[in-house]
Amino acid sequence: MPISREYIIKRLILLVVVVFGVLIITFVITRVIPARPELLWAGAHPTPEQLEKARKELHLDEPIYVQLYYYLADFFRGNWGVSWRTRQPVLQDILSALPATLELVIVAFIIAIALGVPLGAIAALKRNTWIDHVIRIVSVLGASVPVFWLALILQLVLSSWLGILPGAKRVDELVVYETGFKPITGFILFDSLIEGNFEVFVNALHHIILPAIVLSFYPFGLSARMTRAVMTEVLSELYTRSALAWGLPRRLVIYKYALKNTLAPVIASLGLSFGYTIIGAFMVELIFVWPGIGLYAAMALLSYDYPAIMGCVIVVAIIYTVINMIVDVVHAIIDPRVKL
Amino acid sequence: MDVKPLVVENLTIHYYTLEGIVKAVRNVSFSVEKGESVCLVGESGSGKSTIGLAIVGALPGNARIVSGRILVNGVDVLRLSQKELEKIRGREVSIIFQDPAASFNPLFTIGQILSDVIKYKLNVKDKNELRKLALSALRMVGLPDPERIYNSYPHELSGGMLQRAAIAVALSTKPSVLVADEPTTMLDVTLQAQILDLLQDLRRKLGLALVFITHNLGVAAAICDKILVIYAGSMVEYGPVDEVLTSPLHPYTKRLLECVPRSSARVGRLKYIPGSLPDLRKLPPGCVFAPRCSEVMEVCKSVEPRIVEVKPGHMVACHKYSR
Ligand SMILES: Nc1ncnc2c1ncn2[C@@H]1O[C@H](COP(=O)(O)OP(=O)(O)O)[C@@H](O)[C@H]1O
Ligand SMILES: [Mg+2]
Repeated sequence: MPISREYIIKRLILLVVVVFGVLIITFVITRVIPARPELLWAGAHPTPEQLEKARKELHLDEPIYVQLYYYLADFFRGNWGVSWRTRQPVLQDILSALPATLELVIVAFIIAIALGVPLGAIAALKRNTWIDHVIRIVSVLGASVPVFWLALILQLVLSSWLGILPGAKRVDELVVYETGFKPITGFILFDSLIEGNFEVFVNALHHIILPAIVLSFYPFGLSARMTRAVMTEVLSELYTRSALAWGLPRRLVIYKYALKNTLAPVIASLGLSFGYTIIGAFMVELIFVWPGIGLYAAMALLSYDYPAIMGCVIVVAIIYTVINMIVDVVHAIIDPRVKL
Repeated sequence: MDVKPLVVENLTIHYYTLEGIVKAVRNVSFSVEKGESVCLVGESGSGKSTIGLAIVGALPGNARIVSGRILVNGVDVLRLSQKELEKIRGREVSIIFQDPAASFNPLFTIGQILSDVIKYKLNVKDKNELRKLALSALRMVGLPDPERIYNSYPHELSGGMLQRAAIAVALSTKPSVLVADEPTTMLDVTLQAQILDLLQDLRRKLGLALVFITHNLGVAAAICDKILVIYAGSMVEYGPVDEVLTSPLHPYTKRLLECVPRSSARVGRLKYIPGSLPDLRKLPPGCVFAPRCSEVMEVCKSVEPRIVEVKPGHMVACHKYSR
C-alpha cells in the first residue's frame, strides 16, 4: 500500500491543528466570553466554596494566556473536568460511551452500503426503467426524511404497536446478568461473539436493528444516489466499452471492474456525510435511549453540563478527522494512482 | 471457397440524440479476406469509428443499426442474441482504440485484464497456464520485460507500451478479425511506424483480417490492401490501394490525395478541403459531397449517386461515372 511517511506526518499535523482549533474555540466560548466562567464549571447551585474551588482549578485569577496554558495542559493530561451530571471524569464517561455509538454507526453504515451500493448499481444498469424510478424515490426519501421523525414513527409502529423489535437500550440487563456477560471492548456484538455468548449477541443484535435502520437511511440514500451517478459515468467510459469489446462477460465487467471504479467516490462521499450521521446519531440515541456519546451529549446539553459538552465537541472533531484519514487510506487501497 | 472473415453489407447506423437523428453511416459495404487489410479513410466525423464499433458489437447505447448485415465468418452478428454475441466478441473479432490509456481500466493491472480475457475466452482455468499464455501474448507484441508489464497499472506505462499491450489483449484469443481504430493517431511519429510494422507483422503471421481506420492517407498507403474512402457516412470510393492512390476516381479522393505532402507520403496528414462535413441530422438531397465539390454538376444537387464498379474491384459513387 503506497502510504508515505510524509502523508502520515501531514495527517498528524492536521489532527493536531484541528484539535487545537477546537480547543481554542471552546476556550473562547467557555472562558473568555462568559463574565464568570467558574459558574459554568462548578455545577448548578454552587456554594461559595465550590465557586472558589472552581476559580482555583481554572486559574481564573491569572492572565488569560496562563489560563490557556493550563487549559491545554489539562486536556493533554486527560484531565477534562468532571461532569456535573454524572459526577464522573468526562474523559472516562466519553470513553465508555464511545463504543456504543461506534457500534451503532458501523452497523448503520454496513446496512447503508449493503443496500445502497447494489441498488444504485441496479438503477444505473436499468436506467430510466420503472426499477430505476422506484430506487430513485426510495433513495431520495431515504436521504431527505428527517431522522427524528423516522425514529419516532418506526419506534411507534414496530416497537409499540407491533412489538417486533425493542424500542430502547442496547441489551436487556437481565440477559447480561444471567449469562454473566463481561464486556471487554465495549462493543457488545463483538465482545459477546468472541466470548461465545450467543444469548447476549442475539439480544444485542435484536436491540440494534431498529436504531441502526433509522440511522442508515441517510447514508443509504446517499450511497444509492452516488453509486447510480458514478456507475452511469463508469459504464460509458472507454475502458468499460473496451473490456466488453475484448470479450469479457458483461457480468464480470460490471461487478468486478466497474463496481471497483464506483466504490472510491462513493466511500469518499460517505466519509463526508459522517458529520451529518453523527448529528443523526445524537437524535437516534436520545430517542432509543442508546447509551452512546450522542445520548451523553444530549443529556449534557439539556443540563448545561459544560465540561461534558466540551469533551463531546472535541471527541467528535477528532473522530471526524480520523474518519477522513481512513477514507483517504481506503481510496489509496482501491486506486493505485493515488499516492498518499 | 472459404467464407470471408468479415463481410459488411449495406450497413446503416443512426444515433438518436435530443437534437435529432444523426445518420452517421449510410449503406456501407466492404469485405475483408483472410490476411488482408482494408482501410477506412475519411475526415474526422465521417463515421469510421461507428463502423468499427458496430463490427465488434460495442456501439454506444443511443446507436441503432437501421439496416444491413455484418457477417463474421459467415454468421450475421446482428441477428445474434446478447449471449451469442458475447461469445464472438474477443473470440472472433476484437478491437484496439485510438487512446490506449483510456482503453485500460485504471484500477487493474495489465495482467489482470489480459488474464481475464484469456480465462473467459479460451476457458483456461489453471492459474499457471493463464499466466504463461498472458506473458506469451505480451512477448508476441514485442514488449520487453513482460513480467513487469504484466504487473503494471496503465498509468505506469507509456502510450506506445499501452498500445502494444492493447494489441496483446485483443490478439491473445486469436480472433480472425481485428479492428484498429486510429491506433497510432495519439502516438509520436517514431512509435507510429513501430506500431504499424507490428500490426503488419502480426497480420501476416496470424492471417488476420484487419480493418484499419485512419484519417491519414499516408498511413493507409503503407498498410492497406484495399481502401474504402468515406465521406459523411457514405462510401465514395472503394478499391485496391494502388488503384485508388494512383488513379483516384472520386473528386473527394482526389482532393484528399492533393492534401498529402508528396515528399513523405508515409507521415502525411490531411490538410483541409474548403468547407466542412454536412450536418448529419439534415442531409442535403443528392450527393453529400456536392456542396464542396469542384466538379459539381446539376444532377449532383438532386440525385444521390449509386455506387458503380468502374474497373474490376474499383468502385465509386459519383455521377461522373454513372451512365
Ligand atoms: N454516441 C453518439 N451520439 C450521437 N452522435 C454520435 C455518437 N458517436 C458519434 N456520433 C456522431 O456520429 C458521427 C460519426 O462519428 P464517428 O464514427 O466517431 O466518426 P469518425 O470516427 O470518422 O471520426 C459524428 O457526426 C459524430 O458526432
Ligand atoms: Mg473515430
